[in-house]
Amino acid sequence: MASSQKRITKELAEVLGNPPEGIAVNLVDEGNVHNWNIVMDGPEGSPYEGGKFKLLLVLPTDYPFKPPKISFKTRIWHPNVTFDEHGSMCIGILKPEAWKPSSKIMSVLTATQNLLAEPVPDDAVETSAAEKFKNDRPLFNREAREYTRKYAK
Amino acid sequence: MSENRGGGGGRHLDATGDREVVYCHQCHAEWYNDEHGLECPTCEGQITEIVTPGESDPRPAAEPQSQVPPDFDRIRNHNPWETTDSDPEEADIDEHVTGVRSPGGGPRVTYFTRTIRSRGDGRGERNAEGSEDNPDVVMTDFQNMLSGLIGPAFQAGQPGRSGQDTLFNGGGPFNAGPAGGGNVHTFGGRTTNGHIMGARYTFTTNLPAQGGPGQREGQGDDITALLGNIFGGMGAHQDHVHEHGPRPAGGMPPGLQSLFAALLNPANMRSGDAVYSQEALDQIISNLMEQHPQSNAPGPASPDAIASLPKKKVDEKMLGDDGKGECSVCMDDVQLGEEVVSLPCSHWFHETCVGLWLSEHNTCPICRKGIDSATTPASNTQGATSTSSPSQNPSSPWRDNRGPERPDRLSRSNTTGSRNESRLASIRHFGRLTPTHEDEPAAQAPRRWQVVGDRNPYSTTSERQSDPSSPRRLRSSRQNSDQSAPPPRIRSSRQNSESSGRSYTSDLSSRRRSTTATSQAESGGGSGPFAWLRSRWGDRGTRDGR
Repeated sequence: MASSQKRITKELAEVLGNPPEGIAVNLVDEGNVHNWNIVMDGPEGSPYEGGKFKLLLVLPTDYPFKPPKISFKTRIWHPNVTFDEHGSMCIGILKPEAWKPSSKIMSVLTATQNLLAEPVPDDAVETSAAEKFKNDRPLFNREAREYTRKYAK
Repeated sequence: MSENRGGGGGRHLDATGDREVVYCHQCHAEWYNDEHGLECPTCEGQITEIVTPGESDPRPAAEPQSQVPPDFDRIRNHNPWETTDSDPEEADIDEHVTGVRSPGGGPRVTYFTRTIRSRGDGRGERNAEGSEDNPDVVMTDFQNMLSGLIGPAFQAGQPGRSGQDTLFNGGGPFNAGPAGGGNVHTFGGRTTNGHIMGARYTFTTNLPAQGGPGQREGQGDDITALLGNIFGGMGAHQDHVHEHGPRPAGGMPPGLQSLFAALLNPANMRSGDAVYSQEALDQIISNLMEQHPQSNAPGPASPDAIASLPKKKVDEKMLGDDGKGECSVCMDDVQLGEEVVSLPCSHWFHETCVGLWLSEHNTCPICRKGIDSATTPASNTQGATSTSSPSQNPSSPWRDNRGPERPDRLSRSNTTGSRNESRLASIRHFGRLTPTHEDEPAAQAPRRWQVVGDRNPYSTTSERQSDPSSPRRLRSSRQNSDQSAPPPRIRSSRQNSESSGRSYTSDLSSRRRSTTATSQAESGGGSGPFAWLRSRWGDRGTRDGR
């Protein structure tokens, strides 16, 4: 799996050298390039604005043939993220049937950021959030902001 | 029938003597062959057997005298039609009796009993535990059953989304133990004046225990297995999905109405392998798709197809404007003149890089276009018509559907775009292939192209049509599993008890075998009162065993 490490190292250098706005990356453990700590700012204009969300990105040993796994360590109330200690995120680009090896971690990170700005309620894992997002947007925004204040400050 | 039985310990006629004892499987009467012949003198049934003493004695074992009053014996007895000392083994023999004439030659009697129990020799074990015979326990259970029926929190069981092995393992609501809360409710019809119309249902709810001390050790096992038998019809997939479907809320009308509502709910219209409504089928399919997200991913490309990909030396055209290029799998730079593999979509990679990917997924790592359909014309133009078809065909029925178009279809963003794209692709295929095919002598060639061309629009426009693999997969995997549908299981236990007394086999595969054997054998020679049911269940068994 040397090739996967090589690619991951390259990608890490790329992300560190040119980090996307509002995203900070560092390794969980300096000796292991497979686990990344990510701190993502809540996108402006979204109810998550002002929050700092910690995420864990885990790259499998057979990366890039298998998609990375990404999860929220900071609790976030979002239609596509489970509102629990796992913080599992459902995002199209990382689904097994949609993953392709040419997808880069950089694009995964920006896709995650976009998901924060624009939830996909039809693909929801947190159904109560999705319902409110669809049916009562002001209420959704209020609650999401509330939880952001509570957990992500 | 009771006059045929002796009192006390020797309830059965002595079959070891010179006289042949005949036993009726319908009414359990016993008589001497020389007195009444082979037809049952009590019910005129013809399902009789000359008793062979020993292990194969079809008659239930004589029950040890218990301290329980006979009334309690009757309450817990599985067969409500029996009077006092019914056979303990009846709990395990399932009966389907219809059209039996009642003893006095009175009106016709129809009853139907369906009992499913997983532990073969339950009675004996419970006796050993010494709790079953406690009248308090029986009464507590009865009260639990009543309160369960009346209580507003009554919930009918859901059709299990997986079998008993997974649904209730480890911490499920039906776990045994003092705090566990499962109650078995058994309904029985009653007999009046020899005219019997009734049915008996055994089902369970997950109400919290109403009477704590009444919970028996080991009851959870029964409940688990029982529920699994009843509702775990689709338990073929042993993956570890622990979700329970949404249960009906507590607002349902209590009692029988909700039971029947649950039974008649179209979503529950399935029994084992069989589904009776489109809704139930849809449910199964969507469950399967949820449980196997991986199956949505395109399957591997065939090794032949991978091997036949053209190799090229990198030239200026293939590199970008800045004269640099990289393999987008390993992200290594690729130099001019380096050998790479080019896919039909003209994306190129290191041979090892793309080979690793294609051996798992038949898609281009960049644009997700499949390589198989595109290599068909390639191998054709090489004139390998006859040899290329076998290499294509083994992968055809499923992989074609899970092929390159499917992920596109599933991705929400550009469904229409991909649809148009694939239409275009199919048109291009036709256009490109037609001239070649005129040179081809083989007659089967155009047919294959037809498939290539037709497949794409279908698989993108209609999900139902494009997805025949799901039900098929369901069926085959179900047959591989050891979960047999409730009806065959019932019959097989019956058959076991007829042929081998109380030696119950837990080996389900042998049960299945015997099920088929029974149904075939019995459906052949049925003229007795069992004939109707036999032909019915017999057909069923044969179908399941197939």
